[in-house]
Amino acid sequence: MLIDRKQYTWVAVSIALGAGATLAYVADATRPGARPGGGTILGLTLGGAGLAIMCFCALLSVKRKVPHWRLGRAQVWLRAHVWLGLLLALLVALHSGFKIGGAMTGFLWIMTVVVVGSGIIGVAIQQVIPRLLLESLPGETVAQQIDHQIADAAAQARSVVVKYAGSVDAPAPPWTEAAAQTPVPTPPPITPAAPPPTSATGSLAAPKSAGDTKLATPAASPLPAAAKAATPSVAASGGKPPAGGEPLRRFYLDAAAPFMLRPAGSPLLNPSHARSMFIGLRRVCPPHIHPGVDDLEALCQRRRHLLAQRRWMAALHGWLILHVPLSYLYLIAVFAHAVIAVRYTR
Amino acid sequence: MAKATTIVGLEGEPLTAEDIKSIPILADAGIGDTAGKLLDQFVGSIVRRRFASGDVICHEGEGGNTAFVLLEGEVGVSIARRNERTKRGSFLAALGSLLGQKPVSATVHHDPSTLVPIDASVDLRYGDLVATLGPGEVVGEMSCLNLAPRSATCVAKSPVVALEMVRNIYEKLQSAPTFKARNDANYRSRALAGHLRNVPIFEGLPASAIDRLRASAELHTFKAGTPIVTEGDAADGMFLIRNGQVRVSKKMPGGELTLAYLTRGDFFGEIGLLRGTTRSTSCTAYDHPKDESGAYKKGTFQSKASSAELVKIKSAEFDWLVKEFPQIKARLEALAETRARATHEAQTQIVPTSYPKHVEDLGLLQGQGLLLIDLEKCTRCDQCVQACVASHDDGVTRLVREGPRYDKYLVPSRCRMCMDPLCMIGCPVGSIRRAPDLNMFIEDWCIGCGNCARQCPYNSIQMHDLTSLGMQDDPGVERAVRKDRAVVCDQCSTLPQGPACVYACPHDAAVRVNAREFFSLTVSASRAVLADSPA
Ligand code: HEM
Ligand code: SF4
Ligand code: SF4
Repeated sequence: MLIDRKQYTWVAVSIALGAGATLAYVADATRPGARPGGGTILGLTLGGAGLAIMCFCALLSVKRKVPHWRLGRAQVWLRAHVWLGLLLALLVALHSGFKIGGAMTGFLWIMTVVVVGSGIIGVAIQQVIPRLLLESLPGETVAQQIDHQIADAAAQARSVVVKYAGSVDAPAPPWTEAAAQTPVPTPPPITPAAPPPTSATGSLAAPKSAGDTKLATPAASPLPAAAKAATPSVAASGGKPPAGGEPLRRFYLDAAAPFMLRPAGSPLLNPSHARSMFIGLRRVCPPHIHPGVDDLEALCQRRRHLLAQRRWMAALHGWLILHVPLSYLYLIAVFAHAVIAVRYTR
Repeated sequence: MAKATTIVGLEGEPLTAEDIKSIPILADAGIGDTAGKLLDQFVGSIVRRRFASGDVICHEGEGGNTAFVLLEGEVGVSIARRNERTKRGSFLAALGSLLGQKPVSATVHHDPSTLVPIDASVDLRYGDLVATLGPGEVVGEMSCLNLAPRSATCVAKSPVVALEMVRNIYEKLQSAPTFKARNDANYRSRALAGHLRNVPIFEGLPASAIDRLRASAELHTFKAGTPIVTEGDAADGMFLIRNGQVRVSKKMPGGELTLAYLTRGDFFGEIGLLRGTTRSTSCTAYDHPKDESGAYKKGTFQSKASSAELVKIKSAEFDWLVKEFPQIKARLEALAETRARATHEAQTQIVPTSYPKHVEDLGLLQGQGLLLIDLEKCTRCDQCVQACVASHDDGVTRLVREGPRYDKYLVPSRCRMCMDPLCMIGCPVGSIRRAPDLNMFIEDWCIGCGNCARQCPYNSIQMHDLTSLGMQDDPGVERAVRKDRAVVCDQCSTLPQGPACVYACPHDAAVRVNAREFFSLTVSASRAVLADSPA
């Protein structure tokens, strides 16, 4: 929820209610002999109002389950959720008379802070990350497609290299002068035991859009080359590998393939590093290989974007893992507190 | 047979000189030399086929480029029966319908007598979807001429002998007077009465009146691209489409707006007659879009220009009808009213001057109901997509949150309600349609051929298999080739609160705009418009 002019109504509602409650509290607490707290008439009223707000906030989940029911527009619900939710913190404070109380009420205090705090963090995140996603990535895919697209990029990178450099499976030829000059940093070791990507196929039940290339199932080979050791190759099957592609092949095996498989720690992860590595690669490749280098570079960039998107998304949604379950726990605890308080006090 | 010289090489019995002489429609068509022998260039283009009782001649939905002219025997023509829902509603769905919160139905129900247009000299009835053809009748004309997928499944009901041919021969036949006459006569006797009865305004007419119309109607053929009626001209008759496509359009300040593509069984031109006014729209025999060089545009349905065959009811007959049957006049008035309203709704109020180039490149201007997602507000929470799923009783989304960006907006793959809906071109059974409120929808007799999905330039139509839609064919006729159905965004037409995606977006990121209006403002001005829209 981006905080914009449309929030004014709910901000105003929340401030007015908050001010009213504060005035009532001050009036009540400054009476001679007053003992402000949850037990007074005002205290009970404030507590009840807080409970009502909590229940309303929790109803957001229900509303989401039935998005097409005419229960009001979701954006209005969320505005009310946020601004009344903030009001809740004040009501809790007034209700308690600014006292921590015992173990139960202390726990409730912590929960209030955590739930409202996580909500505030969430709103803050929503001000920033959507814009960052927009600005830092040229395009996005739907979350469920990320794995799929990663596998797709890896498969495409492999076929680019096969096209320009022949097999990618044959063992690397002996060390040569030229290869030594290739500005390829020492790669992370690739062992046959390297785990394949956890989920190579997209989990989205992709519709079979007949004209769609974007959603269509991509290459037949979803696994990066390094994970497949024994597939028959162009070279092995007697086809002649195009001359001059060796540096590309080396680069792929040493840097690009591991990066596609596990980008963490790879030098290709850093865009400016990657750029200079590819410039170096172009320098040691004959011109007719350059289109292949371009393609590989673009695919590495795509891999980087997919990774970035996944990370941004995790940040954008991660806080809800805290907010949602804890808010339910909170609600239960508050109910328990209310029942106990009403039954056993006085 | 000298296979090496054949171009097409249909399988079947080659035709002999005797055949060509003895089958009148062939004798007339000029496909044989003086001795009657099939001309070399046609060898392999026409063959005789024999089918045993029960043999399948063609399957609905599969590709095909030949027509069959039946010589002997009877052929049953059918399409898979309407899809029955098999999916059980959830508890929430049941509760929702109790509370009057119904999702949008993927099926539009029709009267059983509604005609389903197929590629044969008869039509099917919605309530039944089976018909029988006999000697002299043709199946597969549109497949042959336009490479349209087979619109129905044809099964031999008795031993059948047929001529199977490709386009060059069929065109020869069409130009032969005997064939044309026979075809017209067939149509007049077999299908015309049904077509007339299917025109809603003629409903309930006594048989005698239908017969009078049938006898007096004129059969016309318009080459693709030719205007049939022109906006502003005097009205001299109404038309019923026997075959082919007709594009209905209206001049607008911002360009030509396509109101509809009409196909077999549809009618037009009645309003001018009733009102005694000039034509309110232009109707053109439709040709597929071409680029500057005259080639058919890439991605659009590959076909050569064909023609539209029309039935014309002259104004004298029309006047007689209106005078004789007052109920027809009342219906016409009502219809004229709805059509006028639809046209009015379709009109864009703002006269645009120019648009940013990028807007045109992305085809955004086609969008009369374009969904945009503000990527600065969107938290990628996917509520819009889930709302789309929840709001349709077949449980699949029409919205994919992926697509090109324009400024800070994502233009997701979802129906844009194009000014010129290319998806409607080439549906062999007329099952993708535009409602008066401009929404697109798929009739439940969709045969799953996928033409519309291929045609849509914006990837907004998805093909889903019936099982994932919770549907199945009735046991009667099972579709053999594609167990698919097209799914297109219907803008949640029956939800009073409008599109569910917009309604369900908690972050005010999803908006639906009329592209011409929206993009004629500068981007900053349109941002202001959105910011000021009611919260
Ligand atoms: C007792 C207080 C609260 C309760 C019980 C509560 C409960 C919830 C629940 C259950 C959801 C998740 C809805 C779903 O994903 O199904 C949610 C989401 C959210 N809450 Fe709260 N919440 C409370 C207070 C707050 C406060 C104080 C704020 C902000 C200051 C806040 C901001 C949000 C936001 C931004 C979302 C995310 C909505 C979205 O991204 O669509 N909440 N809350
Ligand atoms: S609606 Fe689309 S998929 Fe269905 S029959 Fe028509 S063109 Fe084919
Ligand atoms: S519901 Fe709104 S915020 Fe969520 S993904 Fe859709 S457009 Fe974005």
